[in-house]
Amino acid sequence: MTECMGHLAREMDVVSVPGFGSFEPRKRLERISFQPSTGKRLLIPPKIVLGFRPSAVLKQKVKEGSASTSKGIEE
Amino acid sequence: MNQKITLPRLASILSEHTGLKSGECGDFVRELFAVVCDSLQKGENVKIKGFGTFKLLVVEPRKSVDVTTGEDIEIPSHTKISFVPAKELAALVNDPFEMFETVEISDDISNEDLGDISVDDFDIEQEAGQGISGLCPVVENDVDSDINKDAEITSRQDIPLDGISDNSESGFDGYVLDDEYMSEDDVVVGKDIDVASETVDDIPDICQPEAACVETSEEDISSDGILAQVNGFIPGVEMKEDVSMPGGDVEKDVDEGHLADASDTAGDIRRIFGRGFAGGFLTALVLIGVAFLIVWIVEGKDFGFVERKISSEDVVVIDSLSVVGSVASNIGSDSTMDNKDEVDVKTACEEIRTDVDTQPSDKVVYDMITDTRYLTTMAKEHYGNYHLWPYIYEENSSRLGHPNRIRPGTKVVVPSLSKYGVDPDNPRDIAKAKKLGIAIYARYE
Repeated sequence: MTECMGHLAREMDVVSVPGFGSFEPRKRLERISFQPSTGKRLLIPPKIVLGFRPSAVLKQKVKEGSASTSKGIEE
Repeated sequence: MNQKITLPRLASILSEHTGLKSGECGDFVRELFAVVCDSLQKGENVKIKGFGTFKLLVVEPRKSVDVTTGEDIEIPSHTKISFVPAKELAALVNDPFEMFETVEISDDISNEDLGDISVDDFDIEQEAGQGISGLCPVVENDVDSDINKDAEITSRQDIPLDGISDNSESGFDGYVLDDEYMSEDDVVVGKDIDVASETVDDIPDICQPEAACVETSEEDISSDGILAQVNGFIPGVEMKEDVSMPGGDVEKDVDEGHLADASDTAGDIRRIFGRGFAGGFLTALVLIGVAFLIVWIVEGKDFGFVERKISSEDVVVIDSLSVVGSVASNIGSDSTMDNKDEVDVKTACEEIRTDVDTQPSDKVVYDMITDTRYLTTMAKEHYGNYHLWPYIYEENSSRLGHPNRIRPGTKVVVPSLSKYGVDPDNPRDIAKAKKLGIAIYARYE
């Protein structure tokens, strides 16, 4: 499963699961950062990261879930 | 590429991989995410090993401005779902960019330069940084005493580069022949520096010192056997330290070949060697805004083999090798040798290569793996596409282990692409190379 997702993501394919959300690879540009300990400048290379975008259904569910749990706590 | 994979599609791909029925796979995926969904709904974080973690983040209420009306509004507190891919998955996804790694930036690169660095230039920039540290004028002198007697060689000369070119900042510090050859060497050296300064003109963004090598080797082909080798390095504009290394190897090989050749035909003194050899190359980058523009500067290595008879007995072959970097220009220069000693001096034509790809296929090109130079880097440099690295690997597969664990310092042969019938411009061949790369990795799994 993981392997499959990885291969698909490498090809920049978006995997969407209905009712849950979509996994989409995003390209990150290279950037320059500082290492706090040494103060050296580091060039972080570009990379592809797998992002997740929850579907509206999942968002709604989580919202309800958190609302109900928070209500439960209040009560 | 950039397709949207739906659940049935994912299920069919999964079934191909696992051998299970497509329907079962679909159910599995649906079930898996249903479980995750349920847990999230309960307010739990979900971690799937090897895949990633789904976390619930509580976002505090914050103030914002309605973009349409301009009114201040408050975004209420809500829960956000975050997904952090596991290391395994992240590595798998990032596979195409795997060859990039985090680099320290040396202090002498200004921010303006950094602002211009594009993705493609990343590796080269990094090597350029190394070039500086490794750059110190190395002067070797290996002159036979016989030569000293005969020709009074070996005198140290300091020729400031600034006298020749304002762009060059470093001075020339090398051993050159002091006697009658002196003038010739002067001419050659002067030319090199001139051309080097052209390089400086062309790459104002990155002013790295270049190490141009001038090697003068003398050999007596006659039975006396006087061999002298004078190596001098001119600090000029070095873009890549690594590039000059393989060049050095090639040069050595060629030298050896010639020496053997020469001794075989000791009688035939007045032969002309005219062999241009592009052993190393200089890569210069011109960075314009966000656009990538890579200018390849080839260090054309010139071998001017000159044979001449100094006295009735002594025959000296002067093999002057100069490494010259020049942008997009073929400079055919002849080492102007004097005929002072009334000897037969024949000057070999010096040829400067501007394009790596024009290298003749029958010449063996060597390259060296370093901490910052990989097969992909080489493929990009020699073939113009990093995807073609498997061909370099295949050529050396007997000596290389896992492609990701090649020891730095390993010398590899860079085969000509024609050997494998690969055209770097043909996308089909690139795809084939990618497959080959995957196959190579598969051997070690």
